[in-house]
Amino acid sequence: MSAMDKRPEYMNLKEILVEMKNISELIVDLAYSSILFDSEAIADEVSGLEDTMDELNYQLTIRALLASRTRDDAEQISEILNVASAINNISDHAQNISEIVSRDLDIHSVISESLKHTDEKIFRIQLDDLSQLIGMSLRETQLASRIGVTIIAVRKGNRWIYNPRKQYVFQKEDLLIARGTEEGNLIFKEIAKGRRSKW
Amino acid sequence: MCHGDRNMAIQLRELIQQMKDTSELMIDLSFAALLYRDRQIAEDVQEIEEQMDALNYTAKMTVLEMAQNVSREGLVSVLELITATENIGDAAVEIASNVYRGDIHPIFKEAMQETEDIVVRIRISEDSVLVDQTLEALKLATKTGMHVFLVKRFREYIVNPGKDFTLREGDIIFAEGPSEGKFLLESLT
Repeated sequence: MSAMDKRPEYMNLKEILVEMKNISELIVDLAYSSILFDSEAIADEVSGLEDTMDELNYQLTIRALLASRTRDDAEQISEILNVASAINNISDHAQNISEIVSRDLDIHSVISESLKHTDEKIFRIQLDDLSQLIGMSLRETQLASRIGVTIIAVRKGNRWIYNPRKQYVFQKEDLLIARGTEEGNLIFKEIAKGRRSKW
Repeated sequence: MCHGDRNMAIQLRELIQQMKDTSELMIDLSFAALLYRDRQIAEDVQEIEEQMDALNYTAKMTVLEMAQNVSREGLVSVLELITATENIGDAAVEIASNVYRGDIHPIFKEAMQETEDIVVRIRISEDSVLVDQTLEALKLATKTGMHVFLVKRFREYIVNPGKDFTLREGDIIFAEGPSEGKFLLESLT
């Protein structure tokens, strides 16, 4: 957690690699979500993650080159550079996917309306300091069963947690990506803004 | 949209969904191959990529069959979506191909081990209690903590097998979960 709020230029090699791997596992799903839910907000997140990825890759390359002293080092480091470049490619392709939404290309006429989850929407909301959710675990909140809202991802600064587990405890300034009905969305907004304490 | 087009649209949606699931699974598997220096899993990633190529081809053919009745913007965007997904699979193959190099860099290994979950690849033997059982009946996730996300049967890879999927002798199952689950699962296979 501590490493994750750092900017890439202050991370060490391991932290950078962990972050790049995490992003690669998250970004494809986010890119598809942007299309499935026709959400420019999510497409923007993908774009932001792709920028972060570029920066991480650059910082990694510099650290990796500095770390190499012997031939054995160089061989191992070249593997790291290879993998990092492939991970970077993944995020480029994911961005190509989410750009379909940003450019408003009409995908739904081809894959039919049923591609969209018509009764559900995806939304992005920042937790207010006053929200009752702060300090509660996902399990305690029972958001899914009580108001039909599922938390897909949490962003803390530059750090993403995808599909947070039941033990996940909400914290101040969490940015949440959630899925639910219009009604669930309205209730959830009230809770997140601290204007509602029971649900 | 006429009735035939609707069917094709549904078929296309399923193909794209399958490609998406496959690409994500390939990423996970490629990291597992690297971490465990497992050439077998690296070969699996390569073979799944061939399956992905077939999906890519079928999906694009389906799009073109629908070409007369949908907008050009729609066609372009779906083709881009399919191509991007296929490219993600290629990137996973690229990651996995590093397994043939020498030892993994210690820092790299540490980074890959950040998640507690492990991936196992196990063949189901003739006398395994799992033979002829559905995934639902087995409740492997509850009993061992391991989630079966891929099955290889002969040359075919079945991505995210459903609850009613029946395991057979000779199937190779890929499961993910806490390291304790590995021994429990191995004792059953």
